[in-house]
Amino acid sequence: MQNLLNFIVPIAAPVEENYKALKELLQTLDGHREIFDEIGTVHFARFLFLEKDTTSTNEVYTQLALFTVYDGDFETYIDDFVVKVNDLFNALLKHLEGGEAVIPVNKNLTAFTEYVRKYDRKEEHSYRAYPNLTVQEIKAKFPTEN
Amino acid sequence: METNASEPKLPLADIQGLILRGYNMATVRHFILRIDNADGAKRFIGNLVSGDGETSPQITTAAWWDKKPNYCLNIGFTYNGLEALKLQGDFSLRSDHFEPFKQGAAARGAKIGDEGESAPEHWQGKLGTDEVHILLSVYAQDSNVLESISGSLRSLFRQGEAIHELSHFDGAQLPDNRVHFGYRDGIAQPTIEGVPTVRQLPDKQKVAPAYYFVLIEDDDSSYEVPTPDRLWMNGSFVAFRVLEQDVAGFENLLQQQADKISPEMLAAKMCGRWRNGVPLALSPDTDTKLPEEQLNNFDYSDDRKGVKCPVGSHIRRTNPRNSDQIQGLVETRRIVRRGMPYGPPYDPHSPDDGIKRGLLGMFICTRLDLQFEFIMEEWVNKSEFSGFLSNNSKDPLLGNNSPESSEFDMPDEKTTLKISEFQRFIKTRGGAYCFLPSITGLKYIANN
Ligand code: HEM
Repeated sequence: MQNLLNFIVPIAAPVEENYKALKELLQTLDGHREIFDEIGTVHFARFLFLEKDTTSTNEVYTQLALFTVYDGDFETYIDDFVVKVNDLFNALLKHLEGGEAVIPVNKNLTAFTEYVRKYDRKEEHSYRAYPNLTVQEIKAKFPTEN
Repeated sequence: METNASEPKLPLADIQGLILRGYNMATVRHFILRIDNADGAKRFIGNLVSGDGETSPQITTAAWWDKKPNYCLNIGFTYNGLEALKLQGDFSLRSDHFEPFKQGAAARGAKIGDEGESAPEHWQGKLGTDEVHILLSVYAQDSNVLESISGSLRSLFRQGEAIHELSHFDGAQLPDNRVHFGYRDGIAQPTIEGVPTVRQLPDKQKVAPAYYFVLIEDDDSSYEVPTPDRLWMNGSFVAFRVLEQDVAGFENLLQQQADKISPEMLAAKMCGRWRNGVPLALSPDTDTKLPEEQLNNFDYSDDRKGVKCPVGSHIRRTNPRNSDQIQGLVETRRIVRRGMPYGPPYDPHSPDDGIKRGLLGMFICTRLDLQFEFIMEEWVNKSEFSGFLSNNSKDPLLGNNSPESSEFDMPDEKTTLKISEFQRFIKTRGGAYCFLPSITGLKYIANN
């Protein structure tokens, strides 16, 4: 079964500095491709910045968003993500509001899960063409796409 | 003796032996005990680690031995057992990671398939009740030694009516390391970082960090050792399981399908190994013997669909070996297995002998939720984790199957041979989640 995450969190103060740091960090995400392939539960994941800071003369945003479609319960595989990308999570959280309190994530898994829940917005509506197909099933049927 | 090059070294003499080594003893007796008097129980426990083998049998550690002892002894406590010891000071387990242990095996049963006939209310020997406090396991070279050590232990734990024997479960090795159903067992075990071994079979899989099997501080582990350190550090957890095997039912299935597939081939497909232990991954068509060094040196990277070894087979489900073909990681889900069969060998000439047989299984890990329970819940009793399994199919040997829904697929390059309508062959007759303290931990218990 596919699930959605709509995680929207304020960037910690000082916002401009943290925004820049986050922007840089997100550039490195391509290097994590293989890890996400290996865990194999995420259909799509995208990070974006929201809410431009209108008071700033530079381009600065005040919120970070992560939208994903993934298979299974959040709790079932969150440990695996943490095993593989603990450092990345810690690095991101450093710049997010309230994030310091759940670092290091691998030792604060319950708090981290609650943190993600807290900033997960319920969508008003969603459409799924194939709500029951998993990443694994799709890859099994189309091995050449891997 | 070879040590895996990787550090850190574990304090072997402080760690209970069965966590890190197989004893290869002929017999075992698991005592299921209730604590009636905390002080008396603490005296009993203190004697087990006093170093004075004259006064009391001694707990076996993982320290190297030059000469194999006549017996080995290990002890575990349920959460209720720790409470019954009335330890001074807090030993609370604040982290959710230890929730399965805290709740106990009965409360977790439904999650891992202990339903219907296998439900905790039907368990034997008081297992599943709050009265179960201690699991005391004696392994012995022969039954005389077993009786003599049992006698000593009984007279010690009964002193002052400190400890009451609720039941005991006896097991004994079958020839050639076989288990009922006729398979050779005891081949695959994780290679653990920093653990010396005599006979570790070469293994394509990664060496497993020790923190998955022994509670130690490690920056990479997903837990913190609970406090007080002296109680928890270098300990581990075990899921003790009494698993009854329906051998006649299993053999019947093999015969019923004989027009579609040879009984030996079907048995091999269901397990992932031929009955003599040869893995299908290396030898899909014949059970011709392979050298021992090859028996655990394989993975499934060249067999995504499971043409050689079905994705649904017991060993491929319980250890898929390659993470890239399933949801989640494999490396976080390794377990140490120590099991011994119970009941005499099955005699095909008297299939309905009414004698109970099965396996007394010990599944050891530091995160029962992430390791043992995950394997049972997601891999044994579900199919979503792989893209190559029929929906709702389960482990054909171990799964909580029922004739209405059971299915097992054996693909070849073009078609898939499917069998269905088979029953559950392995039923749970008892279980207990226990903490296996270190020697330091046992001394702490004795003195607090
Ligand atoms: C009566 C019950 C059971 C029987 C008869 C049985 C039988 C077997 C056999 C014949 C093997 C292959 C031998 C080997 O690789 O060493 C095996 C492997 C294994 N079994 Fe079971 N098993 C039982 C219960 C369980 C349970 C409850 C678990 C749950 C965690 C489990 C997990 C495993 C694992 C992890 C392996 C090793 C797989 C590998 O690394 O390739 N088994 N079992």
